[in-house]
Amino acid sequence: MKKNIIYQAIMCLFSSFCLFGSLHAYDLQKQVTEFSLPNGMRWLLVRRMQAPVFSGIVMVKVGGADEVKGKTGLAHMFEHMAFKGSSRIGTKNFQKEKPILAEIEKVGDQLTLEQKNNPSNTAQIGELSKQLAQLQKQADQYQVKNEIWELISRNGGSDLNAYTSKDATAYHASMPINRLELWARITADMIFDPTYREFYTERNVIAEERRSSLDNNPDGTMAEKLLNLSFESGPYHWSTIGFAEDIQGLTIKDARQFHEKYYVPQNMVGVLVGALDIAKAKALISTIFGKYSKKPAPAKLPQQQQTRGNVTESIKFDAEPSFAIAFHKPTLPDPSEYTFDVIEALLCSGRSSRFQKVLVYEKKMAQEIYCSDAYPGSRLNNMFLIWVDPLKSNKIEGVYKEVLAQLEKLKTEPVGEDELSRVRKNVSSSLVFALESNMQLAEQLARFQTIFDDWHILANYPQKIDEIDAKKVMDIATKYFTDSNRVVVERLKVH
Amino acid sequence: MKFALKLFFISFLMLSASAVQAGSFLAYEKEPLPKILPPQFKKMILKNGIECFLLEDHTLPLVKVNIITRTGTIYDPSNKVGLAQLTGMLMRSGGAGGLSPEAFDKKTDDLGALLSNSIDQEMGKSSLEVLSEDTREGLGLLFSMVFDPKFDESRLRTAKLKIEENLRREDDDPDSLASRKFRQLLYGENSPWARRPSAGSLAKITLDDIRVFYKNYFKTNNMMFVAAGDFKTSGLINLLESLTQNAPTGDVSFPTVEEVKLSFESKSEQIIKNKTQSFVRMGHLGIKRENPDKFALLLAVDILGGGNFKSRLMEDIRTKRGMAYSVWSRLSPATDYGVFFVGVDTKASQTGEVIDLIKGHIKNMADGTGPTGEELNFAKQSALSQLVFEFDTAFKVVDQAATFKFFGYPDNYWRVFYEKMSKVSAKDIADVSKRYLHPDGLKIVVVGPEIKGLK
Repeated sequence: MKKNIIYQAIMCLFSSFCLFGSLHAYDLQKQVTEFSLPNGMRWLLVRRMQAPVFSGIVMVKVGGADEVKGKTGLAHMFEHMAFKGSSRIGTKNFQKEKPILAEIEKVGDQLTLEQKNNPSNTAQIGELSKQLAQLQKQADQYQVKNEIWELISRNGGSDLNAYTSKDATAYHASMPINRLELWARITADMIFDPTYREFYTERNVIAEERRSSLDNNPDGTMAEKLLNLSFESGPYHWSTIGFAEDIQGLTIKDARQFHEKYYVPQNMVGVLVGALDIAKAKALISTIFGKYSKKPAPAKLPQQQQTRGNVTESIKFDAEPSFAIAFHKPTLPDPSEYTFDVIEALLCSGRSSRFQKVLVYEKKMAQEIYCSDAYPGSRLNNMFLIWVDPLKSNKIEGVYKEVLAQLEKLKTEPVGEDELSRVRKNVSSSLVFALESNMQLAEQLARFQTIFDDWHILANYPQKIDEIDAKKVMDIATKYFTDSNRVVVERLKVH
Repeated sequence: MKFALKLFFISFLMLSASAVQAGSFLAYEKEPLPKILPPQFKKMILKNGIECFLLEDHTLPLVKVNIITRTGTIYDPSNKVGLAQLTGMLMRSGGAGGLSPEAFDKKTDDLGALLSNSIDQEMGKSSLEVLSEDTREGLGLLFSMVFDPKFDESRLRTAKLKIEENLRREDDDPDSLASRKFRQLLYGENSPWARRPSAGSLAKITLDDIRVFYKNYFKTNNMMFVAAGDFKTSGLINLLESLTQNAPTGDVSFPTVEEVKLSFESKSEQIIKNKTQSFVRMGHLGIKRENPDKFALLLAVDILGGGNFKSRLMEDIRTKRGMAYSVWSRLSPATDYGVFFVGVDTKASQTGEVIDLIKGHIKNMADGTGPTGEELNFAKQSALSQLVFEFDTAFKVVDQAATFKFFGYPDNYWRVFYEKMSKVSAKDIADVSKRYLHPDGLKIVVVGPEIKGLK
C-alpha cells in the first residue's frame, strides 16, 4: 500500500525490464494464436487448462499521452465512463432515458463553460446547477446503477477493473470459462457503445481520486513534479490523472470526441488466456467484435518533445524526504533499450545489485531504492528513473553523491562477466515468474502488441540481452548519464 | 461434493430470476457455472514431523514454496516490541548455511530466485520462487535460511534502521496513519494486536534475543511445507527428507497473549493534518474466527460496503453523490475479536456529512429489517461464484489448504464455507446485524483538517 504510487509510477506505467524475459525454457511463441478481424482489431489467444476459467483484456492504444493541453485527464475520465453502461446495460428503458441524457449533456456542458469562463456569474451557475440536478433525478428513474459490476460479479467475475497509463487504457476481467460470451458482449458494449450517463457526478469522483493519489500523497506529488519539470511541453508533461483544473473543465462533448477518434478497432488489441476452445473462441470474438466497422487509425504521436535537462528542483511536503534522479533516454525500437534493461538490473534488481548492496546494506544510507528504465511510458522517448528514500540520519546531498558515484563507475569500469550472467539469469526467471496467472500473461501480451505492435519482441528478447556486453554498458552509461540529460527532484520535510 | 453441487444449482436459479434489467444479456448467464473441482494434492508428513502439501503442475518451469511456522508479533515481550519482525528480517538478510550475508545474497541472485522471510501477527512465512532447473539449489538456500541462519550484527543495524524509517514514512501516508490510529483506538496502544515497535523498543533488542526467539519457534513440529510446480512428487519428498534430516525438533513455548476485552464505547480522535481531504476510519470490535454467525455477518458487511461497486455505501456515497472515490466496509474475523470498520477518503469540507451518511447506513443495517432479496442474492452469488478463483493456480490450491489447517479448520474448509454461505437467509442477516453491529458504539478516527463538532 505504502509504495503504491511509486509502484504505479515504476511498474504499471510500463517498465520494459519487468515484462521482458527469457523464453529459453518456456516457448510462448508456439502457444499464441494470433488473428485480426476485418475491422483491424487484433487478437491473441492462449489455451491454458489449469482451471475452468479465463482472463480477458482489451487494451486501447490511447492514454494520457494522447490528450491535449487544457483537456488533460480525458483518457482516464473515459475509462470511468466505460463502466457506466451502454444503451443495453445500465438502463431500464433507453428510449426514454436517451432524450434526458441529451439534455444533461447540453446543460452540463454549458455549466462547465460558465464555471470556467464566468465564475463570478453565480446566478447563472446556480440556475444551471439546479437544472442539472433535476435532470439527473429524471434520468435516475431509468438507470440501473453499476450494472456492469453486478453482471460480472454475480457470474463469478474477479479482477474486474481497468487502468489508464500514459501509453494505453486497459479493461480486464477473469471469469469462469462458460461466461466467455457474456464477458465479450459486456466488454464490447463498454468500449464501443458508451452513453456518458452520470458523467458530472463521476467527474467529482475523479477529483477525489486526484486528491487522494496526488495532492495529499507525498510520492504522487513528487512524481507529478518530476514529469512537469522533465518534459517542458508535450505528451509526457502531465500525469495520467490530469491537472485538477482540467478535470473540472471536462465535458461530455470532449469525451465523445475522444472516444470517436481513439476507440476504433484498429487501435485495439484483445487477449484471452485460459481454458479456451480456440476455434470456438475465435468464432465468438469474430461475431461480437467483428460487427463494429473499420475506421481510420488515429495519427501517430509526434516524437518531438521539449525536454529539460541539467535541472534540479526542491519541493516541500509534510513527509520524510525522498529524491528522484532521472535521465532522458530513447525508447524502443532504439536498441539502447536492451542495454538500459541490463543497467537497471545491475543497479536495482536483487539484494546483491549495486544500489542495494552498497547504499542499503553497506553504507546504510537508504531505506529503499527503485529503478525504472521506461518512465513514464514507452511510446515516446522516456527516462531512466532512480527513486531513493534515504534513511533519516543521512542528508540527501550525501546519498545523492553516492548514487552518482555508482553511475560514474558504470562509465569507467567494465562490468564483470559474473555480474552480467547474474543479470541474464534474473531476466529469464523474472519473466517465468510473471506469467504464473492467466491475467499476468494476458497483460504482457496485450502491452507488447498494443505499444510496439508486435508481441514477438518477447521471443527475441533473451538473445538481445545476451548480446549486451561490458562495452555496451559503458558506452550507454557514458552517453546518457550526463549532466545535460539529468533532472532531479528532491522533497524536503515541512510540518 | 454432491451436496455443494445441488446448492450451486439452486443459487443459480435465484440469480436468473433477479437478472431482469439487462434482459438481452440473460441468455449468456443461463448455463450453470463450472463445478469447483480442485486438483488432488499430496499430503504427507516427513520423518522429522513437517507436514507437507504438494501439487505437481507442469504449466511453467517454476517451483513455488511456502514454509508456514506458528510464531508471531503477538508473542513479542512487551518491553521488546519488534523482536519477531526483526527475527523474520534477519533470518533472510543475515546470511545462512555458513555463508556471509553478501555471499548468501549473491548465491540467491545467481539463481534468479525470489527468497523471502517474514513474521506477521500470528504466522511466520518463508517463501521461495525458483526456476525448476534450480529446485535443488533453491531449496538448499531456503532450508539454510530456516534452519541455519547466521544473524549478522551489521545487518541487524540495517534492519532496525529500516523499521524505524518505515514507521516514520508510514505516517506520511494519511491512509495508513488513519488505519494505524484506528486499530490503536480499538485495541489500545499496547495491545499485542495493535502495538508497534518504536526506536526505544528496537534499541533494547540484541542478537541474543533474536537467537532465543528464533530457536523457540523454528522447529519441524511447528511448521508446514507447501510446494507447487514443475517437480516429481516422489523426487521432491526424497530431497526434502535429505535436506531437513538434521533440522531441530522439540517443544515450543507460546507466551500467553492477553485477551481482548469486548466493549462498545463510542470515541473519536482527530489527527490534524494540513490536507485537502479527510481520511476516515470508523467501526468497532468484530467477532472471532470460530463464531458460527461469521457467514451471515460477512454477507451483511458485504451488502453494506463490500464487493466492488454494488453495495449500499458505494452506490450512495460514490455513484449517487460523487463524494468519494472509494468507500468500503470490512469484517475481519480473527483469533481474538477482529475488526469491523468503514473507510473513506473525502473532501475535507464534506467530512461531517459523509460520516453522518455512513452512520445512517450502519444504523439501517442494524435495525433488524434485513436485506432485500436482490441484495442477498447478489452478495451470495458473488461470494460463491468467485470461489473458483481460489483454485486457479496450483500454488493457491496447496497454500490455501495449509492455511486452513493452520487456523484449525479442515483443509477442505472451502466446502464448509460454501455450504454455510449458501444457507444464510435474509432473517439470519437481519439477526446478526442487530446483534453484532453497534451504530452507537463507533470509534472514529479522522486524519485531515480539523472537523468541528466531531463526536
